[in-house]
Amino acid sequence: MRRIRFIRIITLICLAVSGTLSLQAEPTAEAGKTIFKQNCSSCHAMDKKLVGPKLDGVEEKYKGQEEWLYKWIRNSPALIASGDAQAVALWEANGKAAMTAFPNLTDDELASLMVYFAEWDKATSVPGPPTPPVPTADPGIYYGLLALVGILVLVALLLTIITATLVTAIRAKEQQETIKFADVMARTRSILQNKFVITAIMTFVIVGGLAKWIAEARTIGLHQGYMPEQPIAFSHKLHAGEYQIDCKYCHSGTTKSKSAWIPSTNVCMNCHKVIQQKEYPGDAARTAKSKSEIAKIYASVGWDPETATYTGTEKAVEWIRIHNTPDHAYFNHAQHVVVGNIACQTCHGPIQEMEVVYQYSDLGMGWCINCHRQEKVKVLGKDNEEGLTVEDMGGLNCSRCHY
Amino acid sequence: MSRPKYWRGIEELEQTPEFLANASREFPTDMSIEKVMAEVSDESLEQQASRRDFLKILGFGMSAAALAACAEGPVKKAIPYVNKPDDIIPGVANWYASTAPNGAPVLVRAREGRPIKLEGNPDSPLTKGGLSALAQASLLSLYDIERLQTPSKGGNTASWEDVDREISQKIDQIIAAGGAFRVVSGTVLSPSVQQAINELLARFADGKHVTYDPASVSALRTAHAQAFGKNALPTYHFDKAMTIVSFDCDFLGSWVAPEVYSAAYVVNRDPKKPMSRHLQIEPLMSLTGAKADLRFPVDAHNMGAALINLYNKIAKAKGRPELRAPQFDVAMSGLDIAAKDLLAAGNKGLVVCGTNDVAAQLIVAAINNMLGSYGTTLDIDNPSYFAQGNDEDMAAFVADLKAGKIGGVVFYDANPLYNTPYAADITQALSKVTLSVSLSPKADETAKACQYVCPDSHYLESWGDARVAATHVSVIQPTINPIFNTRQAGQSFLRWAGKNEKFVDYVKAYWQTNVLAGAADFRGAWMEALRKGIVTLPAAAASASFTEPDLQDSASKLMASFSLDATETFDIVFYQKVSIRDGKSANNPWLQELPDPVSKCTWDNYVTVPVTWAKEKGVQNGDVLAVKIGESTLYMPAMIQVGQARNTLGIALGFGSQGGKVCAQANGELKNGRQVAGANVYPFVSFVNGALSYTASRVSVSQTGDTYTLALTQTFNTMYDPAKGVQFGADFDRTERIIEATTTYEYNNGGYAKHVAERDETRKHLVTLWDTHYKDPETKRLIHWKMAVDLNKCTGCGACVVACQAENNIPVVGKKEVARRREMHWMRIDRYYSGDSENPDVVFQPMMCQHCDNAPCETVCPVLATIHSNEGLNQMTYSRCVGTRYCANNCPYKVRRFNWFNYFNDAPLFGDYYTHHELGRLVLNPDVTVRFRGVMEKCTFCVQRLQEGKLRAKVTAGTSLNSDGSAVKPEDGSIKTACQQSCPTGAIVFGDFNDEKSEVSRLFREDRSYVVLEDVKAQPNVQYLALVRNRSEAEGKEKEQARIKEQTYTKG
Repeated sequence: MRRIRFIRIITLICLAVSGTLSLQAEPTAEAGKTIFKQNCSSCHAMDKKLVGPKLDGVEEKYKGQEEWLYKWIRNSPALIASGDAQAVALWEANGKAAMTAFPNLTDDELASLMVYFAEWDKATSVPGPPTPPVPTADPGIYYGLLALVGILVLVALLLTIITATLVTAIRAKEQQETIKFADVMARTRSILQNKFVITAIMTFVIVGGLAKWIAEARTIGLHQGYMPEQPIAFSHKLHAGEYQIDCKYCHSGTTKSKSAWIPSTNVCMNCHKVIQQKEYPGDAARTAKSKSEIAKIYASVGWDPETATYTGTEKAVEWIRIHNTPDHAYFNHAQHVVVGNIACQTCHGPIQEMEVVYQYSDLGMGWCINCHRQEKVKVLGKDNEEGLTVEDMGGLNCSRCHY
Repeated sequence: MSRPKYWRGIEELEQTPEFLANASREFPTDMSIEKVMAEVSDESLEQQASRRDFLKILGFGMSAAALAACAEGPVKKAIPYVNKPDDIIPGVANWYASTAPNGAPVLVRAREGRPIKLEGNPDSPLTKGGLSALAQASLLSLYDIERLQTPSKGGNTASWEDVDREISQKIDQIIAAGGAFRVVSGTVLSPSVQQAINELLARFADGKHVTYDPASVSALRTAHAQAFGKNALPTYHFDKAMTIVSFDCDFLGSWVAPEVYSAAYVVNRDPKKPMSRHLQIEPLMSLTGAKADLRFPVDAHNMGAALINLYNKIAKAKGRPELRAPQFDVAMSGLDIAAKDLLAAGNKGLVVCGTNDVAAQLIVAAINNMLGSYGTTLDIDNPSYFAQGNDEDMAAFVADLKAGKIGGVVFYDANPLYNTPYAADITQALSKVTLSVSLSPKADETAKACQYVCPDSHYLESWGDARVAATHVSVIQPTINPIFNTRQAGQSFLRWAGKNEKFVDYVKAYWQTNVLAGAADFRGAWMEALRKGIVTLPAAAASASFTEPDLQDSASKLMASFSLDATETFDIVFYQKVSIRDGKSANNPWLQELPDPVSKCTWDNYVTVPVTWAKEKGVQNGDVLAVKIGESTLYMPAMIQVGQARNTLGIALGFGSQGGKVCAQANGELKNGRQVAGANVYPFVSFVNGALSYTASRVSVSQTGDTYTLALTQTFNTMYDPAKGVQFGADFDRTERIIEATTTYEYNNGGYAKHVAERDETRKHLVTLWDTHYKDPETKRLIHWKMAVDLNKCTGCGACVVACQAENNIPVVGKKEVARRREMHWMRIDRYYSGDSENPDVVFQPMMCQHCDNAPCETVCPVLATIHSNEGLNQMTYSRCVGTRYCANNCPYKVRRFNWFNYFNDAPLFGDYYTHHELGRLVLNPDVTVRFRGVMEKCTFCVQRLQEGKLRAKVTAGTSLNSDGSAVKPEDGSIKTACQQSCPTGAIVFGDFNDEKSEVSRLFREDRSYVVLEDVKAQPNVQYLALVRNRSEAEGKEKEQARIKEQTYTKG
């Protein structure tokens, strides 16, 4: 990818330089866009197949064959009829649909078109989505540990061999009987058959195993740290952190409903109708990435930023749900946000710092209960002098959440 | 005050060994999983699992579970809207006003765009927020997978364009040929649809709208046409009536508009105020009869004579000529009592008659006219628009059809091939028409026989309106887009009438020119109507006058059915079950599994037999009887019905249709080559004197020796162990700790007060095993939820049971599981009899978790899955439950239900229900956990509603404690449990006992308020208000002696 981008930039520079050198009308993307709209757009789109094939990457593909391409554009039927192998192949690849001839287009105009294509390619070619940081421990540590254990075992083996050799040597020197392998085995066996040892090992295994099992069992179904990749790389850090947008602006359900709501795409459009990309000065890749991510909103809501019209084709964004409570547990956002006056961060953590959202709390019942035991109830217009907790108000009743 | 013994079935009264065995057993122990599997599945487990198999499975299960626990959880997606509609708040329900098909105004609760619950519209002056089981369950038919999904032509799927084009062409042909065209429909409550039908019919030289009701009251309309010149159903004001005499009219259960009548009926049933008097004369035991102060069983063929004799008694008092008829009286000289009470009530008297017989209805109208009731308890000038069916029109239509005079016919909300006696005639003649269209949403009998089927949308997908009374119009608005490619009937009519406008615009236009004609700002008025759901129109002034019809002629006609040879043969009455009614909603599992209020039988129809005959012949419940009606023989299981007249049988309408998989399960089975149970009795309905007669005479019955299992719940969950009861003393009868009933005489003359004093004295001496672990905080910051149930108001109709099922995701378990005593309803209505089995007194007692403050269940749970909340709730935590069932065993009220299977998913096991399809699951309440196999469950007091209501109050206040330290609490009455909300009579009241001003606190302080099984001292949070029957001292004594007098009968 990087190499391709590099080539493109070079090409662009070359084109620009050659344009300047030839002192002709400079081919610009602006002009190219106009030509595209006037001549091509009824049959072609950059990003998808219409009547004709999509045109992104065309400029790349025909690098160095501009002359042939220009011929093709000006009169493809003639080119096919002439038996040009490349032309015939292209024609057949596209279902033998004839392309309208554009004999009037000059070389300069076509060059502008190429620049437009190149620009477009550059804007849309995105570096692969960065792997989201995994909040769990780096697997490298495990490999390191494994290696360490291996080394230790090797050392132990080595030491054993050395000791054994030395002992044998000493015994031989002192004219003592050499220790036979069978003796070692017999002693080991007697140790292992010692009831105390057996009991100790068994106790250790059972108690330890049970403790581990219980600890593990308690986490079944809890997904603390769950951080799936979302269909749109939406950054809470940017929106909630940098821009200080109120959580409840988008998650307006928090004040009305049990669910917080992921905003419908039209809510995004309140701002993104205007904001089509975020400028990262000096980081074209990030800027492009922001544009392509915002383009996903447009794709969802069916908005054509070029024409500033709604196309009518809508497709919902399929977000991955992060915070899942089980079906038998009822949770209500309005209860906590409006009545309890609890900040979003209490449960969701430093959301304004999360580039990618992850599950901050374990959302287990112990976690809920703990808060209900400690949290003071809000009293209208003054402090809770009595120190009434949620528990005092019946917050530990099973049927508060389970029905 | 007398304390009779109460019993729930003849088997309990007689203490049969089978009953005793079941009563002392907590769970049916003989039903192993192998047996169940062998019964329900072809691939039965051939042998029992050995101990080794068990260990193998255990080992595998544990390792599999351990491995599964290691795996990562599934990736869940959260998909928001692209453009969120402004009026949808995900996680918060939307409410829309609409109208159920039976005309009851409803509020539809929709979550994220799908309707999940219906509630009665409390703004309705007619229903006052009540909603019957039938209307509640209409929600489920929206998600019925068996609905037709596209229009079809000759059984093949077609597009709307094609069927419209072809139908329009054929309509043009019929117009060109000058042919006759008919729209055959059930009652059309919607004035807009009616107008659309009229527009279509206006295109034809001979276009006519034929309306019929499967369970018709056409005779009542005809009688009023003859007497008042107005073919209309009068509006009944039961709230103004002080004496009600009902002749076989089940107005609280199944007749015309029970929820409207129930709401009005209970207005005068408070013993603290002047209480109305209700007498019922009927052949079968109906729900209304069960509620009556005095009830007289009379054989069907004697009903006419009883009516004429009552007329004569009143006419005599009023100085009018009497009719020639034989002398007849019912037990206890009941007709004298009725006449006396009616005359005493004067124009506040009301006689109602459920017999679809013009002569009978004319006499009833004449009695009411003599009393001066028209204008007070009856209103013919502002009639009801319910039940518009006209039996004569329908008969004429069938005759025309047979004669080949009909060019085209459209069936809308009509299935005459099933629910009329003309099925055979219509089937044959339907081939003669040029065009036959069915608008049925289901592939029913008529739809299958029609050329085109243009499925109607569900009402929750449609626009419309409903006018149930002259003064009362309500809206229907869609709450979901059509799920299938269906089109609402009104739109179809418009389209074929040659109009292309949308039906919603048509409805609006209708309202603009009619209902809201006077509104200055139509748009505003229309939006307000949509919001509120109901528009009340001014009442018309009295204008109709009574013209005395030839009553002697009527009397003669009535007496024609007064036969003498009633000793060997039986009369038969085709009645409607309260749940299934005429069978239009038979494919609804909620309704099928709802026990009939009186018989307590689910899923089937059967022949109800009088107890005298059953005793004489040794017939037991479930014995298959051969019932010979005319030339046909039906094989029906016997259901011994106490209180039924000696020579009358009953079979319910509404079964035996091809309406779908669910009702097919209620259609009986083949036994020894015979179709047993599930008979369709519509073919036996006959057309007599201008109206359909739902009775037949000269029916003979014989035993076949076969038996059939009825899913009969009447003796399930017996709240006492007869064997153990003896420990308290030889004459101890625990039933008297369950029911309290008294009479107005006792109540007003100190008898009841004496009992209350005794009760309070006993209460002091009761000992408890438990320390009170619920302490009422002095600060009253916490809520103490309590519920009061007024047995005087409860009619036992079962609306609460279905409401609870809808609200709390209670599964349908199917007939076989019900028969094994594994029904899952959190709420049951226990029906108790007392006194003589030939005419017992009846008490309905809704029984749900009593939320005992000293709950016996809580102390025995080994895993603390059920513990007490400090708001007085007995909490059930499903995720903790390990299924020991100790709690159910220890529950004195038997209200806990165990999930023996995963009823929601085990589709092939017990039947194919809504929860087994993705579509059907849309009806589930997302706020209530769906319980899994092996978990105990029970009534939660609708804790999700309590939480929602408390939160609403707190969010509005923005805090949980006010600045003075008091807690923010929801307003009294703002939280209603599902059962309370739907109760048509307001018998259930729920609220905060810590609030002294709350309604529930007030009711708990009433002298009638008592605790069921107080001797257990579990301190329930539910209390009942004793039943008070309006009886004089003499009547009370007479009933106490429990002797029914022989019916006196002399030939006139």
